[in-house]
Amino acid sequence: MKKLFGLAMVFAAVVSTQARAEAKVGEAAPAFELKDVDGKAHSLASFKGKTVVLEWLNHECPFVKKHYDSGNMQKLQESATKDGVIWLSIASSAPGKEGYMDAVTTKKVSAEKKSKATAVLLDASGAVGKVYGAKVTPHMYVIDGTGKLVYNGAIDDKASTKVEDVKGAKSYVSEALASVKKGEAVKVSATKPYGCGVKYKD
Amino acid sequence: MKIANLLGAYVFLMASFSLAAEATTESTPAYRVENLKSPHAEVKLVASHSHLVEGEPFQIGFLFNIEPEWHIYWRNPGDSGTPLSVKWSIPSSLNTLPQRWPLPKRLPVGPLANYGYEGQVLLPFDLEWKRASAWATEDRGASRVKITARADWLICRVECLPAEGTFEIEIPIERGDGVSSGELSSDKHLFDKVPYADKDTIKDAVVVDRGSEYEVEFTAPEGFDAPAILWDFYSGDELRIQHAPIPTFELSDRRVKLHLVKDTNAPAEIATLSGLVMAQGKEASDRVGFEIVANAATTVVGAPDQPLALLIFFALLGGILLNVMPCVFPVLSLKILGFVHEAGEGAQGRSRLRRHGWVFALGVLVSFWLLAGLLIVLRGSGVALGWGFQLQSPLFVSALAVLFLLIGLNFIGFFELNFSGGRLATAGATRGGYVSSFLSGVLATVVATPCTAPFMGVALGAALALPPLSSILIFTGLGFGMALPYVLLSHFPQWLRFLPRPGAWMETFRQLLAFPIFATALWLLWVILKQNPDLVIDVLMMGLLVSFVVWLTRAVMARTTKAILGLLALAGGLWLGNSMRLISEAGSEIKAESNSFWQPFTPEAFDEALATSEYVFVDFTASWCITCQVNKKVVLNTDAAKEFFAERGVTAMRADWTHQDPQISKVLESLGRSSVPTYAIFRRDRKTYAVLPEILSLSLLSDEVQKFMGQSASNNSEGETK
Repeated sequence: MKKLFGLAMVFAAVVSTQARAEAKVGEAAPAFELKDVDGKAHSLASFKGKTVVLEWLNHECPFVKKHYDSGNMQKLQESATKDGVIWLSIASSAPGKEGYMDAVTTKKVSAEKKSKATAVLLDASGAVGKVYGAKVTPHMYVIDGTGKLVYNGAIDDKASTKVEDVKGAKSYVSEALASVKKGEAVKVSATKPYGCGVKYKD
Repeated sequence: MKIANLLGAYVFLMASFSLAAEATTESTPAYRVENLKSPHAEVKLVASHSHLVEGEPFQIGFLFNIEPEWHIYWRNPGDSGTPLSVKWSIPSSLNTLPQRWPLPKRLPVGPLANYGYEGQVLLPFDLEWKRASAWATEDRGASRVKITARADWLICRVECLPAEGTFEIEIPIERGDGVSSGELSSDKHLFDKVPYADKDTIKDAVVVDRGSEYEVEFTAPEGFDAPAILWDFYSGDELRIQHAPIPTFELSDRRVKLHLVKDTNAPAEIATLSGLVMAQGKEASDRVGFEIVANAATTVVGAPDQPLALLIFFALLGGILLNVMPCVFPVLSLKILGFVHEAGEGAQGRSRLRRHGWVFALGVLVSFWLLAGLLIVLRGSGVALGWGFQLQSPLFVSALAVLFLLIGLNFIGFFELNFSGGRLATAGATRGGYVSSFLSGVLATVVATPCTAPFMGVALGAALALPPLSSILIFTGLGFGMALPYVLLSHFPQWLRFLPRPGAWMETFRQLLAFPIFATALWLLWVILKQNPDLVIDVLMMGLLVSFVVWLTRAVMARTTKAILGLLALAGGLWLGNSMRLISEAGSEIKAESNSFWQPFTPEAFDEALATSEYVFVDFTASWCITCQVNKKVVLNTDAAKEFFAERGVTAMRADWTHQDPQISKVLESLGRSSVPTYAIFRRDRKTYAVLPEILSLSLLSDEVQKFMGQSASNNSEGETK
């Protein structure tokens, strides 16, 4: 490698990527419109004035299973929606990829899982997922009434697939929602999300 | 052997377990697996040795044979996934060391990326003996010990599956009385092949926030000399960089500049950025890697980069001021007195005097060049050293103490010597005494080494960070500055006309000057006491012996008598030294200086202090640094200083550089310094700091600290970073 180092300037592996317009905490959450399992369109703009939670979903992912099988996700959904929060579960798996389901199947599975989300939205093109920079399932976002993104990251602080880890985990999402409710700044506003990679179209 | 499903894996593992169980005797390890759920991979626990030997290293690892297309994860999995996690249950004689991960691969998945492993991979764990060659009571007498690992991991292709298992190994103990002591297992070669990162972490890397990207600069370690086709970087942090964009590397010699795309939700300000740099040769298996920890580029209040000319000027000024420092003053003042003799002589005498002045300057310069060269070479080889490094060596300090004793004896008139003795004062008048003048220059430099004058700190700090040529120029400035007053006086001896006519007063003055010299010798003894108390008695013995030999040379007696007496003294000295050492070893330990207000500096304590108080003041000091001791006595250790710090919520820390300490050297370096004293005050964010002058007074301390608090506050509110 001496020779190589000796060369005045060698550029190795020059690949730059397009800067993706990801959702940034503290800035306005990107606008979107998606259809739910019944074909009804929901736009972020229509929820202005309300707190919105986005949950990236893939029911075949073991990390998602952990939170649905333990009932943790449904509990979060229930307590949030009772407080007037809009909870949107978004599936960005591409057709043919793990977690992709058509509207009918998605509706059926959601009912089986006893999802308490306001709506389950279909994003098979992955467009919204990419705009938000959703990396994993479950990747969580919290948007306040003014449309500002106030949380982006993991659901809690125990990055595992084990149901027993739900108990005792620190839930970043419920903490963020509690702060928004009190009109306070969210303390932990960005964390590294954990889970299965979102199965985007290649 | 490839298996296609979970059932297959289970059957295979159960089969291998039963085989192993059959072959088990008292002297071979036994493996057992329970509750295994391992889709798309065979997994087994392997050991580096077939026996556990007291005090010997022992490794145990998970050997994965992963189906094609599937992968498991590195310690940072990247955008998704989780790494292997293990709960150990091991004999109480052993500890598990922090896991060393093999070099991972970049695994792109659509717009995302992971860091992990494919195919066959061994994830090893090092077991360490808690106490060398000692069994915990519970393990004593057992013939076998059991190690159990409850492991879970995630295996993914595009989809992911969780996996887990409880692995157990029972290993026979070898106590050194048997036949198969330390026998290697058949799996040992797997442990030898693990591609680890270089054992040294690059800690002097610097990261600069460029808005949408981080720019990291560092010097690659020596020995990275296989042709690299591919470079890569695997982030060691969370929420710093986007994993998918492939990092860009710019190389210039071993200097590497790395561009990383920032994560959208990266914190507004980061203190560090870490990760693993990988260089790959033609073969995919030909990979090397090293860990880096980059610190954020710092904001210095009121100290921009100095141009070289200014630094040389500072060095010159520092050199001139060295002449009045307590360690140099007696030696040089005496030398200058020699001019008094010359002032009245003719033109010839005066030109000879001038030449002597320049030869003296040459002696100083050559010594400085040698020191600089040595310092550059040593630092080049990776030793973290700074100015005054010589004084971190107890042997050098011992030699210096004896030298000062000799100088003192000479001043007081105990003996006369050609280069450091009586003629030191009259060197100018001696025909052919150029060697003497040169050696006086060398001597002056040697005695100057314990001192740091004002202005020197900035110059020396920069000197060591600059390329060798600039560095030599700065040292030249320092040496020339030190020789300058002498050179000037050799040209203008009439400037000394105000002094009384040469006479008996000069002898008295010389004897008087012996006392600061003796004081310096005593102080050096105190330094040795701090470094290695056992050495003090040796140095005293050495001093006694040297004085005796000096006396012998001028005693009036037969040559053979002198030789016999000399040998007797040597033998007596050795015997006395030895017996006194025994006494001192039996004596009490010398306790380190403790002071409840000044907390000892360690990187950990520093972090803690920054977490709890708004400002931290650090006194970088050393016992051998006389300027430091004076500042400590006159300013820092006073109640007034203590009150001042306490009132303003400043935590005071003392970094003791008496011994070589790479951690302190690193911090000094990050401040642009390489010498003590250095006084620095840090704001909580640690990136904003100010360095105070080398010579303190109470008012200067309070002014500087208050100025810094004002500036750093406004600097902070503007959010200005460099």
